[in-house]
Amino acid sequence: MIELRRLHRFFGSTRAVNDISFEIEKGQVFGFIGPNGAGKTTSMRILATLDLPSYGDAFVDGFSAVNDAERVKRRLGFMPDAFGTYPDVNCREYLDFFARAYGLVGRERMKACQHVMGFTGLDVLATKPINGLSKGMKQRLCLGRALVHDPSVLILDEPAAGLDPRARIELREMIRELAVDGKTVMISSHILTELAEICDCVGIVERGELLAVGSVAEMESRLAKSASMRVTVLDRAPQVAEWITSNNPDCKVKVKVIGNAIDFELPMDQRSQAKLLRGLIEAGFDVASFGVVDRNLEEVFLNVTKGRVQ
Amino acid sequence: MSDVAINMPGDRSDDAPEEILEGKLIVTDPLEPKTRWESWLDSISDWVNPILVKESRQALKSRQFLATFTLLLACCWGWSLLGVAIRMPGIYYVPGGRFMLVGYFLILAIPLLIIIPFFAFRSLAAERDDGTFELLSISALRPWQIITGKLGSAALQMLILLSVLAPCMTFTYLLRGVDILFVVSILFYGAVLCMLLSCVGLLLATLTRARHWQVLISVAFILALGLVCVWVCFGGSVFINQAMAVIPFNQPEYWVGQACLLTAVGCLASILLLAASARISPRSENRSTRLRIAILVTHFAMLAWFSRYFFKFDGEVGLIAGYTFASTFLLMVTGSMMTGEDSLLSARVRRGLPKTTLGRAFLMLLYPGPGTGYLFAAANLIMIFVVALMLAVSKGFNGRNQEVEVLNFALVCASFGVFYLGLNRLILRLASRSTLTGPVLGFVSCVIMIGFGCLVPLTVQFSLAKYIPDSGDYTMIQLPNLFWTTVEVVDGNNYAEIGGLLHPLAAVVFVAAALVLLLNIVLLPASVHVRRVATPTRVQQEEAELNPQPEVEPQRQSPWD
Ligand SMILES: Nc1ncnc2c1ncn2[C@@H]1O[C@H](COP(=O)(O)OP(=O)(O)OP(=O)(O)O)[C@@H](O)[C@H]1O
Ligand SMILES: [Mg+2]
Repeated sequence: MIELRRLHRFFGSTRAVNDISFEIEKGQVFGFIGPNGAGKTTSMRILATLDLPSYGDAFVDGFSAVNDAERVKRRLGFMPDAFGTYPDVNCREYLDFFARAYGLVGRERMKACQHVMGFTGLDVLATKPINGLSKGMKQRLCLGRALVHDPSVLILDEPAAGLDPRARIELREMIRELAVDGKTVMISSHILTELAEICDCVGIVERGELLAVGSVAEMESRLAKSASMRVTVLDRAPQVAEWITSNNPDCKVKVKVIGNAIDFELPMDQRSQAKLLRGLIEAGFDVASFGVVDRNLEEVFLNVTKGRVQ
Repeated sequence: MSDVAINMPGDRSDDAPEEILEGKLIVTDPLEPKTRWESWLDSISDWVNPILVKESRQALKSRQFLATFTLLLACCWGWSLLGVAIRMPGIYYVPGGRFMLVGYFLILAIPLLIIIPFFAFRSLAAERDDGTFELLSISALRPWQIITGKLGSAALQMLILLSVLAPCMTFTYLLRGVDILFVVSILFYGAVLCMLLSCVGLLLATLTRARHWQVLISVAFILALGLVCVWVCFGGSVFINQAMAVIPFNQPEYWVGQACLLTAVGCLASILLLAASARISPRSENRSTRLRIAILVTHFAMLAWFSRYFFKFDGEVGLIAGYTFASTFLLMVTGSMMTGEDSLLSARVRRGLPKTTLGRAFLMLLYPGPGTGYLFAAANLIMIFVVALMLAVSKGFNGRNQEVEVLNFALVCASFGVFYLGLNRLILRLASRSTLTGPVLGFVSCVIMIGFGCLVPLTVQFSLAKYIPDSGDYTMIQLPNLFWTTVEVVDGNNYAEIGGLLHPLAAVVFVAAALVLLLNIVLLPASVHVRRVATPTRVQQEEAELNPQPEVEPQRQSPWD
């Protein structure tokens, strides 16, 4: 469980985090979305006890990251966007070191290391020096390090940055598995479509302010003023498009014909959708499919943020 | 080690630690202890500082360490052959041990006094540069463990290097002319100096994160190490040639002296290490109390040793002066840093404040904050004078000139300390609106202030030289000049004026100090009177879960129950 309570962090005149509050329930995956310089990393670092807020507090499992840092550290796995490695150390030794640093001893330590190496698929690279690892492998190692003490809360700062599509899918699988295990996960990312699939909840920040927060579906419906519709017909697509424009004078839609499919927009209202479908069929068009196109989170993001940078 | 990363079926390398069993990839853990010896070692390592374990593993693979090791080995062998060759015909009948020992000593000095302390410095600074330090600080490792782990790995490298030299040292013994205790002493003090310099290096590594300062500090540090090394090499070789015969190993007093020296080293090292670990602790943590206790212990240790020698040498007043000087120096340096502490106490620190008024009255001086820090230093400085007075009286104070001088010296030292630290505190208090705080700032501002206190009167006096007769003499303008005033108090002969006991200058400085102290005390409540905050219920809950109260067994009421 994570809570940010009126979190502020100023760097001189830069308001990196400006009054952000939200809660993440246990077992949820929370997506933290925002353009560059929005304050994602700053908020996450405060949660991870690496920085102190100018005002407000962040809580992990009810413990303040400011005043009970060591209790927070025990429960929290943090994967920073950039992380350091040691020269002359291999993956296994790296994980073993952090397991020791988290106070694991004896068989417990062995098991923890083996478990995370299996989980992240690093076991085949155990004796490989870290300097020789690829970006994706390093990301896995960092995730493994964050998991080695079996934390109940995970904070991942842009874990997917620099990964190829396959690695991204694998990462998504891993995160999903962790959520099933009951871990609370907070992920920041620019890659929004990706978050939509794994997040229960997203928050959008810009210039240190939280612009919107809620479940993915909620955000979409809240922010979508109209629904994107798509009709596929067997033939006569241009006529269908014409028919739609002429029969719906109230919606100044941009109707687009792509092959046999026609894209257009309707007010978010199921009654008018049903009416349109009936009209189409009665007019004798062969409708193959009719439905709402999923608006992706990307659009929501572009809608909500203004592209301001600080 | 295998360079093949992923072993696809078909391109398996033979040394990869895995087997394919029934189409399933079974990975054997390369670090899984296999022999009994290894598993024993592994279980031991659970008790060792994790940083030490990691760094010894690293060192075994690192080229840097291998190079140092090989070079040292080569030098030792080279010198052994060369030295024997130079002394060749005589070596069978003239004791040549001392000559050989000097050579080994010089060879050892460079790794011990330059390389290892600098590695300790770099290894901590590199953690901060490379971003691994953040990973350490979110782990369960305490700052103190990080620092001692670094020191431990320096110690380990040192032991390995020393072990290279052990056979050579034995060789010098076989050549006659050296005492085995002497060889051991040299190795031991070499090691002690190496560790002390490593502590300094660790503290320096925590001073700044800014790149340019970091570079400047490392250059300055290596130059300083070079100087120390040259100095030790020179002094050491003279010492080996001259002093060996006169060291009284068989007298108990010699060993008491060693104990005194080691106490000093231990105290200094613990202050350095605690300061380093305070510097890498988060700002919300209590970073002062342990350091203040260490400073207090150091002060008491000085007091104990100086009084021991004072009584042993039958009331030698020079020892009172020595104690006064050493402890004033300690408290001025540490006190100036304490007055620069952050005056905002985090809720976490306030939670740990003593609960009772009585507890607060006694322990207040150990709690963080510049106000309490100043009072702590002032209390210690006052103690210096009281102790000096008590020591003088205990030997039957009879108003001898020397005694009067030394007591005035103690008074003037303590008063100047209280005065300048108090002034520093007041100035920093005014500046505390700005974001700048910190022990380094406190130290720097105190040095600047004392510098001004000396330079301004000197400039004034010498620019007015035309109008003042005997301008080379002490005048009242020099009052803020700490050094000249102190010298004047000790050397001057104005005692007759006030009953022959109190020097008027000492009296003036004392009054000034008292005023500054009073002003600080008046202003204190604002900064010291912080409310203790309650421990959050969530923390109490967990405490209760972790340490359940032992269940009270129902007492048997009667033997027949
Ligand atoms: N140590 C610092 N000193 C000064 N300014 C800082 C510091 N750290 C962050 N900032 C500023 O705070 C703002 C937020 O930065 P932050 O790194 O949190 O953004 P972000 O959302 O993580 O961006 P990105 O997506 O690029 O990673 C930026 O304007 C940045 O310049
Ligand atoms: Mg970022």
